[in-house]
Amino acid sequence: MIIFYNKQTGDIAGTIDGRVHNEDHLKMWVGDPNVNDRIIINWKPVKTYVDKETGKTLAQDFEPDCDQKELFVDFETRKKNLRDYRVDLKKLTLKKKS
Amino acid sequence: MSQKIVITKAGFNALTETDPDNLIFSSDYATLKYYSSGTLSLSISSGDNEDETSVAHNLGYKPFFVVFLELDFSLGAGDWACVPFNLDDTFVRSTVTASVDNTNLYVTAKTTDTFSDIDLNFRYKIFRNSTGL
Repeated sequence: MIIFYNKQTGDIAGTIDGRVHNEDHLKMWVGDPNVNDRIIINWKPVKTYVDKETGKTLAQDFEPDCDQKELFVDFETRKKNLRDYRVDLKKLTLKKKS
Repeated sequence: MSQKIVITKAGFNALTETDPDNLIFSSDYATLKYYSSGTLSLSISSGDNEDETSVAHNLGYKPFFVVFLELDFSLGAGDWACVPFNLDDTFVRSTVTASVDNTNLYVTAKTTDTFSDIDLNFRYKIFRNSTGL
């Protein structure tokens, strides 16, 4: 997921879905680049399943490559809504709206 | 003979079946190719009568797209409506439209009066297919 937020307020202006972002996504932008900045959350492989006979990778488990990984899993499973959060401009992490 | 991919429903032969009703997939028929999706928020301040947000897709052509507006107000919380979206009462018309050019997808909210403070939330999908426009 790529999160675009207002540099002055931390309000989230929009997102780009995805776990691993290619160059096409990195060229995209939500809103005015002078007003909004972005946080890129890529997912990383944490467990690989290998065929013991061939050594070929069969599957991988992924998790968000950031400190708030549980939160991003909850966004993906729709247990929590990103709309209830804004960006903490000092820490560049998400915090729940008061 | 050109190469193609055909997947039929159970009981039909992919090598010979030509009736589309009996196919699950056929590369003979054009499909939409997904490019990107995500969310957009538009926070409109009280007194304004127009606001806009955008997504830079940078595809270099006008892509096929869809935008949905979340109806989290009196029209039905949690429901989504396809944009363009009109809301009329006796004296006021409010409209949400979406458009594309070669660089951006734009979502615009307008009203014939003025808005109260309101947050509009959208989901967009952009496809690789060109509209050809």
